[in-house]
Amino acid sequence: MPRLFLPLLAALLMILALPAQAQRPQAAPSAYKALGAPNTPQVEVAWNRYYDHAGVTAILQALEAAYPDLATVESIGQSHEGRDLWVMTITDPATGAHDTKPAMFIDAGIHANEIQTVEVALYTAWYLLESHATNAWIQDLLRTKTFYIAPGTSPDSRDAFFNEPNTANTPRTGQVPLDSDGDGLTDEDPPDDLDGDGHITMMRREMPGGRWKTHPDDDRLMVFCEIDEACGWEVWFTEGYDNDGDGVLNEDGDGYYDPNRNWGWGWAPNYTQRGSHHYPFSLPETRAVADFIKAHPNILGGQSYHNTGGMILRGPGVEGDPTYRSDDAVMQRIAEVGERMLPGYESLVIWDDLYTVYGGETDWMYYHEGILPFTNELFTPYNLFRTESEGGFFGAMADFYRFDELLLFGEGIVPWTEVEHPDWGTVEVGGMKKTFRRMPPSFLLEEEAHRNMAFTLLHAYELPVLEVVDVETKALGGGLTEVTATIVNRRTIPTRLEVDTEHGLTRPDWVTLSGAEVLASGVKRSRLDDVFAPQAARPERVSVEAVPGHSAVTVAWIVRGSGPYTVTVDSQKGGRATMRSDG
Amino acid sequence: MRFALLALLAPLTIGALPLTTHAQSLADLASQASDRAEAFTLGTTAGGRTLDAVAIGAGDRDEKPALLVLGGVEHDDRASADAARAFARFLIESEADSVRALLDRATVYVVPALALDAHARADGLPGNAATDDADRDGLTDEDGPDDLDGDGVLRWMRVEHPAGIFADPDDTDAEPLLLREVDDAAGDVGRWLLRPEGRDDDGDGMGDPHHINEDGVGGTWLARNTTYDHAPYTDKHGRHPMEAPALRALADFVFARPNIVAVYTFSRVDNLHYFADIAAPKRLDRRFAPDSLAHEATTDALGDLARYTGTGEEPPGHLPSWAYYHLGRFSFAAPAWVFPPADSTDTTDTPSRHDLDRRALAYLRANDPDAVLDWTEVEHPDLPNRTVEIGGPAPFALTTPPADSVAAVNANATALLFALAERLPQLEVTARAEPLGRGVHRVTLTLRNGGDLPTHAVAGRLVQAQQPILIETDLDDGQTLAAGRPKQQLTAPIPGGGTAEAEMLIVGRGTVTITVGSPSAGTQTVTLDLD
Repeated sequence: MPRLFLPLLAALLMILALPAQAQRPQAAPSAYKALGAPNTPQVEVAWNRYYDHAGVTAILQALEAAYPDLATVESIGQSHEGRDLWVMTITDPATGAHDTKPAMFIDAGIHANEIQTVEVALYTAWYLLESHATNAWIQDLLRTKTFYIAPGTSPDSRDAFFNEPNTANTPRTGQVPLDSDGDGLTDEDPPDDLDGDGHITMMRREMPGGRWKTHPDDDRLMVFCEIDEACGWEVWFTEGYDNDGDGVLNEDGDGYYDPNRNWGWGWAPNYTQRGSHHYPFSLPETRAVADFIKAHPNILGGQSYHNTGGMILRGPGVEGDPTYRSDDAVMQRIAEVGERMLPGYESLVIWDDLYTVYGGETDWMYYHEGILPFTNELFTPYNLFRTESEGGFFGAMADFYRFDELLLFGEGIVPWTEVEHPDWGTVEVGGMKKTFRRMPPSFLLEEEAHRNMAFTLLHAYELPVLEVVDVETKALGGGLTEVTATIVNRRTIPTRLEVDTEHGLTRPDWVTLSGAEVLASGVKRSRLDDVFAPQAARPERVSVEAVPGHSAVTVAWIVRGSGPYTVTVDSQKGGRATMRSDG
Repeated sequence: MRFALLALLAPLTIGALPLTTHAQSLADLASQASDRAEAFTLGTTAGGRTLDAVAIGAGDRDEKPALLVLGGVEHDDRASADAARAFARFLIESEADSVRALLDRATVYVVPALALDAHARADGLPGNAATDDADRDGLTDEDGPDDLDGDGVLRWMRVEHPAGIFADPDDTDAEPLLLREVDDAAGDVGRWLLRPEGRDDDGDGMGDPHHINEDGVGGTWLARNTTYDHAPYTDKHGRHPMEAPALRALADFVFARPNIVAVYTFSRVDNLHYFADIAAPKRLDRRFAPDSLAHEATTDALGDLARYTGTGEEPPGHLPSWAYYHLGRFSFAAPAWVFPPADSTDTTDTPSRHDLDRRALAYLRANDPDAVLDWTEVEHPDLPNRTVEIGGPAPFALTTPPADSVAAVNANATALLFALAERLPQLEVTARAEPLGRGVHRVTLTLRNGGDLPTHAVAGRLVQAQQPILIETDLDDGQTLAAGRPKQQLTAPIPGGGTAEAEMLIVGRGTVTITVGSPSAGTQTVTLDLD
């Protein structure tokens, strides 16, 4: 396909997919490029708004059409309601197939209400592809690494978030129906949008003995009253009525289960870990993602995007699960740099600093697949006024209300409005919109996407780059030669993590000599060592436990015959490299 | 010559023949009485084998209290499938009033064999048909057991080796086939390494016995792969729980059927006789206390009916505790058959696995000596300078009843399972209306559980798998509920023989229809005319 045609095709796809956007008159392209985003991308995407599953699909397909040499999109399975679970593979195939390079797996939106995670993952795909032609650092990254990007692993609930009334916290579950209240019916008593504005906000009514009052500085905000105070308002956190007439309000809505508690390491039943569902990978979405990861043992880096709170999280999710010193040191180092790249974010350990998570995705990646994973909790209340906010990870409500007043001009809060409640008569409905509190407003979204992408690119950069150096020969007499080769890892992350070598999760790295009959071989303790422990079988293919970060391993073969010899390193997670001796 | 002969005889006499007794397919059985039974497929194994099953009962089977019977869950247990089938056949064919009465009010699901992939192999070793690269050499299943001595039977091989972790038995009277595990702390010195009989097919050993048969056929060990207490990083236990497709099919089936009250598993693990050993630590969690009482009452009642005793040691990832703690159903387990003690002086109350093996070998030596091969030295082609001996029982010989016992074994299983099924909950509802004047009535419902097991397990609610009893009141036009709700749940289960009451005040005359029940308790409807 002629190269010039591609932008046209991409534009056409965008027109087909996003008609509302395309029908508007296009502004002239910018005259001068700002650092960062490409000036004239082949696929125009506005990074100050959110996309539903159709929008995500259109962007991925347009990117694939615009960059067929670098990107492919595949469906790795279907969600419960039949939406495709997309994975975009990005690498420079000129330097090898995607599955021969160390890979970074990025997924987003496993908690569907954590909306901007998907835009961050999409932005990463877009930026890598659109910057590739002009940015040497990106070119080098795609020469040596592969990206598998899954922008949206709970697409049913993502669309439900946009199309149905929700809070900022729902739907965290997927859309497989579940009988939460044990009455034999599923999802029959969800919250209800009494004022019909698409947001599930709060309800209040004046009532003697009510323990709530309005905030002294902002009468839109309800606060709990002091112990020695009489207040007079009752407040319900979710708008709705008792749809199934059982006397309990909103107790059986979407789901409920938690897709990020449904993974194969440390899974625990519902009474120990709420929402774990029936057993590891009992849900179509988690199963599809796990199967994809299992089928790609070259994945060594992992990122699972969540919100909220501004965190760079690492495992374990459960106190007492083993930690491996060298792996943790690498994670701490990368996260430490990340704290600088992501102002307001903190490097934290899941169980110790956040809460206990049984059966979480990233623990499974680490303990079962030997992947070095981070969970970034996007959006930090620090970004409201670029100061620390009271109120923990979520920040203080008063700060959000003030931010709404000063920067959103009231758009983030639904003012209290009287509605007729089917069970209780007149109540007032109002409070934060579903799009506030966890999702950045337009002007913070692109920055959040770029900074988090940069962190995952650093993570990907630190995946191994292997090189065979110094293939040397030494005549031993009697027609025998000792060939030695040194394998260097030019990056920080080892070819196999300590958890991997400890438990044999993947095969060892193989260093193979070809070009002569090999009689014996082994790994040397150091390059200067003149002995090695001989390997039992297949002497031409030496098994190396791992090549640690910024370190080297020396391998020796005793061969009959003369060179030249070719030495190839083949690491499942660390990539490949070859060197041919001079003679 | 003797070995070759034994090879032909052993699997036939000990393994295959008794199983033909009830080899009639479940579909054929069910088709004899389509009003009473329906055959279905639970799912498929990793090897693509169909997991046959049958649902037995009259009417709407998935809406009535049910018992699920599982056979053949262990890799070396082909025999309990026959006991499970025998029970199904009894229910389908019996004309007894008690059977009819049971099938009117309850359902029995039978899955005779789950570990079909392992049962289909000759080696008697655990693992389904999923392939794996156990030794991480890039090849899958390339170094499994081989019939080294050419006797047609795959047994065990012991290799004299400095790294041995087994020693010879302590005293000369002990069973010579059973090696003693070395206690390092006690300064014990090992002599033998134990491996399945075979060669170093992939040539990676260079004389190291650990590299012999280190990557054979046999993927995930079904009876070690549930989520309950799963042991990660353990050979064949599955990298993560629930990798075995048969287990997933089973879990999906059970979660889709809140009417299943109890699961019975034919298993070496025996919680009928060793309930306290297995359940004690977990009973510390007070939430499970009502279930524990019901479990204990059931094991007390059924223990004597179960003639064969297994072990109170439950390995990680096994089914009995999983069925209770993670599927949320009352779970009972005992073997369909084990070798009885060889002599009456053996009265160990809580035999260990080792004790059971010893009894079994003694019995086998007495009753079917040809199935046992004493340690016999062979020339091992890959271990030229080592003493290598082959011996042990033929696969499946320890777990398969002799042909002349099968009828008794199956009759025992049927009696036990029928007694268990009769303990399923049985909801009886009576309603009383008391006029308070001016068209107001106090309506009192009395719910009685005429069965022995509770109307649901507390654990069943905790894992969101079962439903508490729901009372739905349908009023006539013009009637209102002054107290009570049109739907109310009875969150606590009603224990066997227990009662519960619910009250409501109804204003207005007319007919009230009240539906009471749950899938696991059964459903009753009562009608009251209020005037």
